[in-house]
Amino acid sequence: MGPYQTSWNVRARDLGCDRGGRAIVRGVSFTLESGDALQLFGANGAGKSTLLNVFGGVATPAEGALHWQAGPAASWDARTPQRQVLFLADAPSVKAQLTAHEHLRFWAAAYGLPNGDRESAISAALERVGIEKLKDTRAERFSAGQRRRLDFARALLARRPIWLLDEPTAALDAQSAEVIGVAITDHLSAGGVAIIATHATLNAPSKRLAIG
Amino acid sequence: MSASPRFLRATFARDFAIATRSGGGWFYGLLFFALFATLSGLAIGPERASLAIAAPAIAWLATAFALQLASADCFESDFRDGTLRVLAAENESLAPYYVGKLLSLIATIGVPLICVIPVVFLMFGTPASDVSGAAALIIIGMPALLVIVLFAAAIATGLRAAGLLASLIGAPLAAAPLIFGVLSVKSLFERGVFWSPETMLVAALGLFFGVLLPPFSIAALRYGLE
Repeated sequence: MGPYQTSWNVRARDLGCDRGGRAIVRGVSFTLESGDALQLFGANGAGKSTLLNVFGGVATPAEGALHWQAGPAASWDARTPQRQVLFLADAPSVKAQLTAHEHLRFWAAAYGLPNGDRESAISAALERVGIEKLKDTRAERFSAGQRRRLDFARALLARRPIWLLDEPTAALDAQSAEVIGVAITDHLSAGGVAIIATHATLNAPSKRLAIG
Repeated sequence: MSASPRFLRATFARDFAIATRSGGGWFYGLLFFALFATLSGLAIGPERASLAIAAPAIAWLATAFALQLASADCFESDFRDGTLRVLAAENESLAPYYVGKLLSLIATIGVPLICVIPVVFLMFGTPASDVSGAAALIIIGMPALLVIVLFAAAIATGLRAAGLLASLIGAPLAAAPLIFGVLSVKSLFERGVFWSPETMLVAALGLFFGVLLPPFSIAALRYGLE
């Protein structure tokens, strides 16, 4: 994986978020530079996913500040650079009626991949997550782990430098989790940043932050 | 080409593929249209004069209900499986997604309805010379109905009993296009005037809702994720 064109830094100061009008996370502070990863760990309902929504610009923080910087010389900006974000939700965002190839073709178009590069990128992503043989199989026949791997293949298609991952290894066996760990390590080596909500300890270099 | 037109086309292609494979909302919408029109005809009775008087209202109502039914959970599936959250986090604007959904709805339910609306008018004893004009008047009203049902679906996305709630939200908004739509068809039948003031009003309502509701629908989708 070649280096990303822009290296992003992210800084959170006393960040807090609410759910249903109730304060669930308070006082989250960290700084991540290009090549860094942060694992958010905590019990179910502690607010990890809500916090990821704040990072993704889907939810507004109740207090504190979050800033992004496109390289060390750029100014800090409070708006999430959403076109630079790869967001993996806690459940696989996979349509049962589509084949793996059709699913990734949708996302390749959504990510603006040129037509000429699309097929090779889809094949490479499917191969990397180990489901290339299921390319023309509808996702309704996939196991939970295969769905998760198909969803993660998006991350490899997108070529986006900011990864926000919610339980990326849920429902995966050790070997598949290892593949994802390697992909995250490659992403960081290429200058990306990653914020990962997880129960498991990922096999990737990262800072850890307890939530809740 | 920028990513947005590709994103729009991809949403359209994906939703069209899903709709044609799963026998989704479009099928039930069309089935409902046929059942509603047939049962209304049976309830009115065999008198041709009574059927002809009721034809405009039945055709307009059946169209509105079919669109409502086909689109009620339009965004719900993407909300439930997290796709909507992913798209909201990865894009500054959900406009291409919304337009892709709208075009998919036109292709999967709008076009089939356009094909069967003339049949309803014929069933209800409308003279053959007026059928194409009456169907065209409903087509003029379809943009308003489409953006209204999508607005209702967007507001209800993620809420309990979303489909029912969408119907309740959409019904009051659809009243004006329905009233003037029925009057425009009556004007065609009784006076032979296609471009009547009522037709102009239906077209104007389509423009009004077409400009007003999409931004609110897109905002509602984002707000529903918070």
